[in-house]
This record gives sequence, structure tokens and C-alpha cells, in this order.
Amino acid sequence: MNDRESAWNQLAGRLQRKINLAWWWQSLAAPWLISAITFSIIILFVRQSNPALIISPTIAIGLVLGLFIIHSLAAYLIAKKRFISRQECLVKLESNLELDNALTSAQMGLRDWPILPSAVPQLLRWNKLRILIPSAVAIITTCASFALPVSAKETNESDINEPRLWSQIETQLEEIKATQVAEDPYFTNIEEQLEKLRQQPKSDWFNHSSLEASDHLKQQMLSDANELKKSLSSGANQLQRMAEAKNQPAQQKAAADAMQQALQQMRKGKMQANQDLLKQLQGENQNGLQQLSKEQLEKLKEQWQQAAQDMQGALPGDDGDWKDQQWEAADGDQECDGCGKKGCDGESCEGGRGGVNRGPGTNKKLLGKEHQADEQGNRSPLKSDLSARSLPGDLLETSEIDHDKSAKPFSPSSSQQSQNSGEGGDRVWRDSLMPDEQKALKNFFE
Amino acid sequence: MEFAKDEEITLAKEKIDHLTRHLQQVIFGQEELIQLVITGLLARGHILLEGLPGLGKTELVKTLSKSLGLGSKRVQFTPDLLPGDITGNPILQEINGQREFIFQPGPLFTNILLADEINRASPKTQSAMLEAMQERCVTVIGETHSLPLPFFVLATQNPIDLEGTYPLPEAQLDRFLFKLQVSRNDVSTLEQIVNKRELGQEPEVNSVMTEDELNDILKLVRQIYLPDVVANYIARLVDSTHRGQSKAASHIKFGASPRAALSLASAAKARALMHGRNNASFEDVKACAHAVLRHRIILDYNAKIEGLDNDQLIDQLLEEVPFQDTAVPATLSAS
Repeated sequence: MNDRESAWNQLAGRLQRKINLAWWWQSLAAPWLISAITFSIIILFVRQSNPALIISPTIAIGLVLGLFIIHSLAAYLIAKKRFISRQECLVKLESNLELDNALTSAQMGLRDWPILPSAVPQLLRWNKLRILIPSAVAIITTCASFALPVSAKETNESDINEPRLWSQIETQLEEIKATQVAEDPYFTNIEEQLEKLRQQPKSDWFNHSSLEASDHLKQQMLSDANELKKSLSSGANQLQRMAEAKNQPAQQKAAADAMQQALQQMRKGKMQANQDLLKQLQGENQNGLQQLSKEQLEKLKEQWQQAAQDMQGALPGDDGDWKDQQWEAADGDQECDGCGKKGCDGESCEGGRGGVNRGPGTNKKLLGKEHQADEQGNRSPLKSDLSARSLPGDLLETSEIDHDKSAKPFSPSSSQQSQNSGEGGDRVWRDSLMPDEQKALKNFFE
Repeated sequence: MEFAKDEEITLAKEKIDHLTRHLQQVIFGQEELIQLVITGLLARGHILLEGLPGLGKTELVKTLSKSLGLGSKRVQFTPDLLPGDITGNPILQEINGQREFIFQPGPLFTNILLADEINRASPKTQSAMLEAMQERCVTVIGETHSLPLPFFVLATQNPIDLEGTYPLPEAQLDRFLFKLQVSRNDVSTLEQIVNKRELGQEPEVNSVMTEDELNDILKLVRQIYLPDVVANYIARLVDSTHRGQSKAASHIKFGASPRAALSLASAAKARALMHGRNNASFEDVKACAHAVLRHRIILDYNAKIEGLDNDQLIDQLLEEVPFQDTAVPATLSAS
């Protein structure tokens, strides 16, 4: 083989390899892409099902390489029948270079091999998009399947534990029950409500509405217990006053009345006091508390106080409910954090002292420097004069006005003896509408 | 099969080039036509020349025959021409006291027959040419008479003369190797003609090639190598002229016959020899495609309405049919 022949054969060989490689890639690209996507989906599924499973990079690379090798072999077998021969490459060269089939006849030995041109143009070029896009998509999906964070599959409902709040409610309920201060129907009601929450599907246990209901149940139970405790404390205090004011009938009567109020409040409350205890607390003397002696009153007071303390013991501590402090304040001993007045329960005051209602001053419980009183200037409410800028139909103010209703009651009567002059017709707008409405209606009819 | 040697080819090329130059000295401005006529002759084919009157068709044929030193005859076809007027007739003669029919050969018995305005002859007369052109022999009253070799028919026809003409039947058209369009001359050629010619004066033409030399060249043409890939290309090209085989063929009513494929192969070989090569190539086939296929493709009515002619269709076919029947993968594209 001479130089020219080998040069041409080399050129034809390069072209042959290029074309055959392109055929192989064409056979590989689509199946490889589909396999890569399928493989990625499988990996994601496996990772989601087994969150604890860690796939090492070596194994991952090994899997991907193995898959690629299998596909490559299959693609080679499929593409092989389309492979081009060297002879065909020579023909391709001579037709593109306009050699008048010189290579073919040279290969037959009929003529000399032509001289290789100094610059052989590239006959075929790679279609980069067709090569890069499938490769990129396959690589990206495969890498993403290993690297993307995957949330674990939802656990079985059997693995779900009930909210801790429910066990807290049950515990609290047991503690209150154990004091034997409150009566049973209340506990049964709470238990029924708790049972209703339990009967929800487990997937709904931690819903916002379910948790809110549970929290409300707990707060209500504590509130009711505190109310009962408050009534018991108040009653004990009144009994103490009655004992101290034994020789002062007026004060004793006032204390007795206050005591009755406390009793009524206990009866009204949702958490009813135990009937036996109530009878016991009401005292042996049925003629009234005023008939009791000082010692009897004191004994009664101790019983009530004991009941209140038992209830207090069953309830959570200071961090459980801020209302404990409020009720203590309601007894008249402490200052209200909001307005600073003694005896204020903090609910009815109009604010101040930087409390919830945002009055002036600094709340005692806040850290830091107290707000100085001399920094407060004259305060006057803001007034807005909208009348100059109002448009027809704008609502400028509202006020509470009692409608001018007819005071005459309706009574059945026969039509001939009707004493009612009627409420319809122009009496509607004359007598029963608000002034603005009267004016509007009058303008309409005019 | 023994293929032509390089030395033989070189020698033949020189003679052909000499003939070509000689013809170009007599016929001005028709270089391509002259090339194709010589190609047709070397391919042992008959040629149909179509062109307006006065373009030098007859002059070309007469010059060619004189240059080759071959006998030539001219027949002016007219509607009243009889077949016997061309082929020859048996004449009753008395020889040695006995009367017998003696065949008198007609003008067909020559090396180069110039059939002027062949489309003016009646179909009967035209069909008398069929056997002669194909078989190179004539049968008269059961007796076959061979025509002299080489035998060529160079026919002419006038494209604008429609009245009183009989278009050549497809069967006869198919026997012509080439149909060549003789185009009118440009200004510079006309000037040259005016300067060097006189009306009514025939140019002097010398013979530049003997009959034996021509026969040797004709034999050499048959020894030109036709590669398989070129044969494959010819086959695909001819096949593509049939409806349904290519996009361009949607306008073709009837495609080319296998005789067209043989004609293409011969013409390609002849052209290869004229270019000094010992092998035919794709380019040779492409160069001869128009001349070979132009008169063998019958267009349908839609093509005529769209204004498509045979040459445009052949251009489309050449564009559509690649040299090589190997697909290129989609991941590669031509540069």
C-alpha cells in the first residue's frame, strides 16, 4: 500500500468511525434517555420509601455505569446493521470532493491513487444539540434522583401518637376529680368531648382545628375549675367576715349576702361543686348562716378554704394561668397591672399602665426603664372632619338612636272596631325612620 | 473484462480533442452541443436535434461526417415520403435473361444519416426508421439487409412548426440516445459568423479522423470501467422518473425505460473517455442526464398547467437522488 492509498484509507477510516459512532449514538440516545428517567423515578421512589437508606456515591456511579454499558452494547447491536463500510466512505469522499470516482477505480487498480488535497473539508459535522440535549437530560435527572432531598412517605396511621395535650387534659381531669370538690357530670362531659376528638381519623389529629379544639377544651376546663376555686375562696372570705363581724348585724348581713352570691355563682358555673360538699359547706344550721356561732362560721370557713386549696392544688402553677393573679386581685388586695387600681380584675378596666389595652404608663411586668409620666403630653382624641370631603352616600358617623317606635300595643279587634290607625303608608317614613332615611325617602317621592 | 489502458485513453482523448476543435472552428458558439454530439456518437447512439431553422444543425452533421471521413446522406422528410424511399425498394431487373427483384438500398444505407425535419414524415415512414435505428438493419420483403457500421441517425426537428407535422411516437423517441436543444447564438457568435461566412458558401472541412480510428475509439468506450456505485446511481436515477418513486416524479405520467439506463451508462463512459479517464463517474452521468432523459419522460397535465418542462423536472430529480444510497445519521449533518 503506497502513501497516497494509506492516506486516503486513513481519511476514509476516520469518516467511517465518525459515521458509525453517530449511528451508535442515535441508537443509544432515546433508550438511554428513557432508561435514565425511569431509573431516576425508581431511585426517588426507593429513597422516599426508605428515608434511612443512604446510597453511597460508589454504588450510585456503579449503577449508572452498569446501566450505560448495557445500553451501549444493545445500541451497538442495533446500529451495527447500519454501519458504513470503508468502501462506502471512499465513495462518499470522492463524490463530495468531485474526484470523478477516482478512488473507486484506484481501488480496482485501474489508475493511481489521486493526491490527497492539502485541506480536506469536513464533510459531516456533529449536530451538537442532538447529542448534548439527551446526554444533559439523562445526567441531570440521574444526579437529581440521588441528590434531591426527598420527604419521607406518610407514616401509617398506626404509627401516629395522639397529641400530648389530650393526656394532659386527662391528667388534669383526674387531679380535679381526686379533690372530690367538683361533681361528676362535668367530668363525663369533658371525657366525651375528648373521646370525640379521639374518634377523628388519625391523620386529622394534628389539624389546626383539632389542636385548637383540644386547647380550648383544656382552657375551658381550667377556667371552670378556677371559677369554682374563686367562688370557694370568695365564700371562705365572706365567712371569715361574718365571723369577725358577729356583733355587727349590718356587716354580717352584707357578708351573708355576699356569701349567697358566691353560692349562686357556684351553682351557675359549669363545674358544679359536689352536692355533698355543698351541703356540708352550707352548714348544719338551716336557718341561715347568721344564726351560726363564730366558731361554727370559722369551721365552715376552714372547710371552704380547704376545698379552695384542694382545687388550687389540682390546678397548674403560676405559669399555668395568669387569671389566678387576677382573681387574687379581685379579692381587693392587689393592684391591677393594667390600670393600677386595687381590686380591679383586669378585665373591666379601660387600660393604662402599658397593659393590654395600651393605656399610658409602663406595665410592671416589662423589663427595662419605666416610661416617665412627664413625657406624656396633653392628649386629645383625633377628630376628623369628613363633612367637607364627603361624597353622597358616604357614611360619616353612626350613633345609637332608638327608633321612634309606636308604643301602642297591637291587640286583636274586629275590623270595624279597630283602634289602630295603622302603621303603613306615609306613617312609615314619618314616624319610624331615622332622620336621614326620612329625608331620602321624602326626596324620592317628591 | 479487459479495461482500457491509460495510454490508449490518452491517445483517444487527443484525437477526440482534435475533432472537437475542428468542429468548433466550423460551427461557432455551440461548444456544448458539439461536446454532446461527439459524446452521443462515441456512445453509438442516435441524436435528435431540435432547434429553430438556420442554427446550423445540418451544417453540424455535414461537418461531422466530413471530419470523420464517413459517408453521410441527407433525407428531407416530407409528408409524402414513403418508407421505401428511405429504406430502399426491390427493383425488378433482368440479369442474364432472368428477371428478379434486386434490392436497391435507400439513403438509410450510410454511416451518418441526416434526417431533416423528421417530424414531418408520416408515422408509417417514421416507423420504417425504428428497425434501422435499433437493429442497424432493414428488412424488406422478408430479406434483412445490414446497415453499414458505424451507423448514426442525426435527426432534426423544428419546434415551432406544428402544422402538417407528426410528433414522433414514444417508441421512436426512445431509440434516440440524446435529444439536444440547439440554442440560438449570442451577439459575439453572430458577429463571428458574419465575418467568416458567406451566404451559400460551404466551409471547407477536412477529415481529421479515419473510420478505423473511430471504430477503435468506439471499442475503447466499451472498455471504460463503470463502477458499481455509478451503475447503482444510474439505476436509482432512472427508477426515480416513475411516479411514486420520488417527489419530483409526482408530475410524471410515464417514466424512462431500461433503455434510458443503458443510454446513460454508454453516454457516461463516452464522456469519461472524452475527459481522459478510464472510469465513468457520477459527474458523467449527471452531465448526460438531461440529454438522455429529456425526451423519455412524459409529463402529466398538471405539470403542463404549472408550466413545468422536462428539463426542470430532471433538475429536481438530480437534486433529489443522491449519488450514494447510504443514509446519514441525524446526529450528523452536511457541512
